[in-house]
Amino acid sequence: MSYLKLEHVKKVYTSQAGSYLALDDINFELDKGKFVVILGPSGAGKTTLLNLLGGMDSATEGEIFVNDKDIAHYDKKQLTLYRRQDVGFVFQFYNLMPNLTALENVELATEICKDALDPKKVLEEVGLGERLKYFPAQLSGGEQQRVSIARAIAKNAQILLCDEPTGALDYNTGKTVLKLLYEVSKSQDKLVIVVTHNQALKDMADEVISIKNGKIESIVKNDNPKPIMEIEW
Amino acid sequence: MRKYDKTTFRLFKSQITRFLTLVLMLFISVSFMTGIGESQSKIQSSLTQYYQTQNIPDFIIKSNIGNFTDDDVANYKQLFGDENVMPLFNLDMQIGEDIYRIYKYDLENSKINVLEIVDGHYPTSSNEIMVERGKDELKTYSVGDEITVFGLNFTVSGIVQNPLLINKYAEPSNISGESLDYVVYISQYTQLPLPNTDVYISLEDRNLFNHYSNDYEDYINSQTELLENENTTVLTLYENYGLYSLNEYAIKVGNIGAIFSIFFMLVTVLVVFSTMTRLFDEERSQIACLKTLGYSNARIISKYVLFVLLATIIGGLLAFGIGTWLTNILYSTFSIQFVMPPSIEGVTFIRYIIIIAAYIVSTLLVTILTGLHVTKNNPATLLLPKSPTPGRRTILEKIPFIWKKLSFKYKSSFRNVFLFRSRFFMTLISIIGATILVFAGLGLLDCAIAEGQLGSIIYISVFLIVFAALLCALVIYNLSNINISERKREIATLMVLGYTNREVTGYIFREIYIISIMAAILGVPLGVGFVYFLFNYISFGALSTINWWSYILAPIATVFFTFISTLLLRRKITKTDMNASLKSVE
Repeated sequence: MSYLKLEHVKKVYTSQAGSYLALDDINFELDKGKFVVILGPSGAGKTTLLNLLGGMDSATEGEIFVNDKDIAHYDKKQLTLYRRQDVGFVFQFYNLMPNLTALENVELATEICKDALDPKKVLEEVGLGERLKYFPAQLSGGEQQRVSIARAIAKNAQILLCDEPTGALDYNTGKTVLKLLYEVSKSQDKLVIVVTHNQALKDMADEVISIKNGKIESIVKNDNPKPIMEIEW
Repeated sequence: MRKYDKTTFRLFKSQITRFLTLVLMLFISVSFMTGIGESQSKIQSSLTQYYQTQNIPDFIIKSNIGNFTDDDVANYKQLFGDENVMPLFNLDMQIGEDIYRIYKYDLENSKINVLEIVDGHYPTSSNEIMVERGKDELKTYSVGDEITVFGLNFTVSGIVQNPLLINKYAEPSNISGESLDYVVYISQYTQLPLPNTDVYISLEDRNLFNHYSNDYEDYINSQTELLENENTTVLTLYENYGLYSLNEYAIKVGNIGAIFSIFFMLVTVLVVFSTMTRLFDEERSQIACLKTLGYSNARIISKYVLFVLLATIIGGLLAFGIGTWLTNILYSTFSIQFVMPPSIEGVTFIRYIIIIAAYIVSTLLVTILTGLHVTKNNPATLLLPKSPTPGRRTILEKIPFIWKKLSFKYKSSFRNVFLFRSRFFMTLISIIGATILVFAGLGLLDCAIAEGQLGSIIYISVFLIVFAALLCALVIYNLSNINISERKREIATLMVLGYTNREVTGYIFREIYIISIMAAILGVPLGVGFVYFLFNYISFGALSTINWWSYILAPIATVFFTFISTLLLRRKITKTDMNASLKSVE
């Protein structure tokens, strides 16, 4: 069985204004070592899907198997534990603590994980060995995003969820960040999922899941992904 | 409804907690200020009214040789007017085991120092007598009881209250330092050859007194010099223990109230400032939007001015009820020590108006200044998120043996505490202010209890502590609330990283605890300074009288309120929406 498997996942938001079907009958499975892009315009249900995968919300119906465990109906405590151990997040706006250094920001995540990696080494791997004691405000956007990636990697989680990781970065910096994420999936055998509306990224992915109006439009496997540096947008 | 007014309406709806906190803070501050200030006025005007209605004599002239001749009395009448002079007999003597003070004059018809009849009636025959009502030390009889005075048998016809004897504690007698046991009044019907030992004189101008005004004091001093000679001793209302000390205590209460009021006001305005600063920050993008649409700065700020104005007015108006109640309570606590004159009905609205106006001016001023500071930016700047304060190393990091021992959670908290200096100092000063108020209240209570006699001050302390504690709790709650709002993103990030509720709240509250513990510790020495000043100002109490536990209780109270606030605010943290906070930079 695949490392991540979704079966008939449905998510309905209910409020006073009525109920809203955000995701409907989502099915796919993904393996470790893959670089996957979830593609879709805004309002398609990307964020909802990310929330479910990231353990920030639970599904209304269906199953989400992560390493054979169904997280779709976890309670809040179980979800917290899941976020702590099993997923790493990379955010569009980095979400670093402004008053902690790069190293301390990574430690913020590793301090509460069981099998965390050495924060210093991970920062060195992402090319920030010289910047350990810098505060976020002293780092460029790309550097901040690399700290954010280092934070996700250092947790030693098997899944990395990235929400528009290049959204706040310039073109070239965006590319290097994507390259880093791609390399992580291969060298560390992680499942890296990038959620984006940027169509250009589909060429570099091992697998592209397109969603529209809360449904899967297509799942395309890419046997020969293009090297990131050749992609343009 | 115009659309802009709709945004105003929504502001109140979305900021209801903040609005209510402000209302509550203003309510407490104004209640306290008016309640205490008003009780001083009420006591003093009631005292003045009592002086006027009972026609209390301004001078008691005692003959050193035991007798005023008719010529002497005529002389006084010529000086002060027939109506304003009353000769009478007054003597302290031992009868059996007890010390009696005996008065004899025309009880029923005298216009000076009119006795209040508490029970029974004036004597109608030669064998009837009246007795002063019982007080803490002073004993009394019941109507119908038999008494023997000067070898004559009397029946008690009535019980009275002498306006000169409103003090409830022991009244000294003229005999070898013993205090009085009974005061009795013999009427004109009793044929006894008793001399006129005293003359009561009341001034023609009954408005001069005006609760021991300066003019009155000057006049009395000048007249006393004229009246006093080798044959007479002159007593004035300044020597009347009951009336004089009642006025003095009223002034003391007023002074305590005034000093504390300044503090209450400072703390309240400071907290309004913090709250509005945060509110304007949160509404940056909306303000930017309105600016691009062409709304004027004044129009934009007016919404927030209305927010603060309404909070101040509602808080102030609600305070009217509690303030009046507090005044009545304080007034009645004076009955522990004094036979209180009937209280003047009604409220001096002017005090409420002035105090509420002062609050309106100061709270609006900080709101407008904060608003101008934000709106002077151009919309483009406002649309950008406020650039984060860059992380910086703190002074503590230069002491490696301490810094290295701290876990990074503490490192982060300490950095935050020192990083956001203005916020830190504002929070610190507000909480220190509140701690000082609690400490001063406790100190005052200790001294009041130690000196025993000052029942009314004990009650005022009790009240002071309650108000100070409430204010302290609200200040901490409000500032913690602001702190949480400011750190939504950090909270959401921690949650996504898999921090448990307990760990997240710990992370956020640690900082609040650090500041409140610092404030609690600093509040004690500063409180000592404040109390020293306070005691000097009101000429009451001594630092050495303050119990050791008050030094501990005040900071503990502050930390306790922090604990309660964090308990109440826990939910706000755990309910944070991870997504909304992560998506955009607000």
